[in-house]
Amino acid sequence: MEKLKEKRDYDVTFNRLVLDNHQKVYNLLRKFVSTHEEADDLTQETFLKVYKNLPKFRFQSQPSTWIYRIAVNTAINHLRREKIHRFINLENAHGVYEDTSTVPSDESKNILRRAVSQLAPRQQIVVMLRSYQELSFREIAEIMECTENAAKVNFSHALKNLRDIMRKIGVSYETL
Amino acid sequence: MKLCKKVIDLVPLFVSDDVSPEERLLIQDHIQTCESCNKYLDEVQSIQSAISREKTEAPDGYGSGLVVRLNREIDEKEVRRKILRRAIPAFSAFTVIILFVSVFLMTKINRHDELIAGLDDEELFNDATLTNSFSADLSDVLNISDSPEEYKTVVVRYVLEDSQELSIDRYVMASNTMDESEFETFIKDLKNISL
Repeated sequence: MEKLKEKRDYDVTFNRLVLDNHQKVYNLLRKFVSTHEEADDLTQETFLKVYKNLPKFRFQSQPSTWIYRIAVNTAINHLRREKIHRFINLENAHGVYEDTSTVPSDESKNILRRAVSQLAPRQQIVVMLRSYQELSFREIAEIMECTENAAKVNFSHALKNLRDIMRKIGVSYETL
Repeated sequence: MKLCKKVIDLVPLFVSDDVSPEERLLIQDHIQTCESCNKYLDEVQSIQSAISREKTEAPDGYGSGLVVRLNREIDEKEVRRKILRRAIPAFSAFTVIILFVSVFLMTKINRHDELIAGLDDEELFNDATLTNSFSADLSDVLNISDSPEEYKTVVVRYVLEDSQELSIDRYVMASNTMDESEFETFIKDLKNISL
């Protein structure tokens, strides 16, 4: 009976965490994939890890930070798995636009998304967390388990690399 | 040039508003005079603002649907785990039984092989051994002494009475105990009795 109650409390806590954090997690993971279905799969994967590891979480830090950290690790694993596919995609994009000086704005955004996907996983994460999610570097450092300075360096390198990739592809920054 | 490198490192943080007031001043002053750093700032600013505009939102009702799907997945996993927890001991017991039966059968087969190997032994088919062993067996069965005369008479009687207790191969084997003349006499006796 006691066990049943414990299980019910556990499930209630878990469901609360999902409802409170699913939006942020989904939005973050959606940036790394091209379809809603893929983002949904990664979101589910993240929360199943949350469920499994919930007994180890002591609620001494913010649950959202902890969940973000799990989402980030899920994203990094996904990015590593998809590395080859992304490489092929960039080659295609390069082939289409290498001779053009200006390209339509929507296409530029699409290429920007692809260019982001060419960055190292940690650089992608830091860009997503800072530029999309607008988290502070202190929060990012906590999520990524690194120093604030390391997060800033990653961010700085990420934007520099993005600018280089866009130049290489031939996309003018004025069209963005 | 050294200042350019520092400014380039700081520009991304400048556009995301993460620099100190001193760093901000440094960058603002520097880009007044450095065209390439100024251009770099424009480029990074465009990229940063393009990324920031790319907002995505989960579809309506996504959260509640997600909770339902997660709970279903967790329940299914729990059921699978329970089945596995029961299946493992059953499978282990089955494996142990199979192991015991295999060992038992192997032992039986080995014993049988040893027996066959023993039968191949030359000594077992040695004439003397065979004769002695057979005579002794026969004497025991027929309850007679080792006297050749009595032996022959009894054997013949059993043969003529078509006794099942003395099969024909035994009869042939019995004949091996006699030399040629004895055998001829034996056959003669046999014919006389038959007639």
